[in-house]
Amino acid sequence: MKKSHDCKEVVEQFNMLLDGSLNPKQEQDVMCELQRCMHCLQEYNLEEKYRNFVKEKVEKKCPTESFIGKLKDCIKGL
Amino acid sequence: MVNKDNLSKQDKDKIFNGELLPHANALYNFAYSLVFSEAKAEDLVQEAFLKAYRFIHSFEPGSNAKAWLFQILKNAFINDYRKNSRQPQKVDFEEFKDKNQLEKQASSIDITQDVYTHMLGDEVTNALNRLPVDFRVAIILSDLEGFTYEEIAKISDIPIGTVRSRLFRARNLMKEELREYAKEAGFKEMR
Ligand SMILES: [Zn+2]
Repeated sequence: MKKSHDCKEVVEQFNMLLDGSLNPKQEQDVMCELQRCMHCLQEYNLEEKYRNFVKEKVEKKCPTESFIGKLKDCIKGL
Repeated sequence: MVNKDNLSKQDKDKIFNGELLPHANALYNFAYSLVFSEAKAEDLVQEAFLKAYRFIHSFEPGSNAKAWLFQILKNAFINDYRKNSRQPQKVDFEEFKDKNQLEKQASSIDITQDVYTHMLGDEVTNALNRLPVDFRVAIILSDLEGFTYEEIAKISDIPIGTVRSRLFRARNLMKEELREYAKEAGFKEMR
């Protein structure tokens, strides 16, 4: 018997899916649930886009070459 | 079996250069997001690497060096900065609600809307940097660095359940920041 669809639960589940913390069977279950509910599917698509957006746009600070050089020398001298 | 307590200088340097140093960029970015100062970030990264080197015998070659380094750096940050800075009493948001009860996901924002696609990298970065440090860290560790819940729990020294609720809350706050930005940008356009 299939249990009833709970949107709140599905949202939790697809967040875990996007965090890479579900096993393949669980992933498959979530994907099935998403096919059952337009609302959840839309939310999932938006969440996925949002995650990619953050990943793409947030700028990463890089250390200078000279700092890395200093660090290497420091370790070499230990 | 190698007695790891007796690693030669050469062995240690090999592990250091091969497995630890490649994470310098990610570690520096993480440090900067904690202290917002290039000089302080350098100090913190150096301190973390020196500590890692000193305890290199406890590192299992081939295991997750990145998570290990992040954990060392986070601890160094807490020791160096938090206890010295007289921050206003920290509010632990998670304490306010049932730990098993994740709050509702904020209504999603459509990132394909014009206002978001035109957002510059530094604007998104600023939105992230306005979040309280624990939430900022959660997003960096998960969304930017791709650590698992288990790794984040270890690095942040919190239970896995808290990692999930903190991430959820952090992303909601981040979306709120982005939405604020969008509102303001829309307002400017109207003038
Ligand atoms: Zn649903």
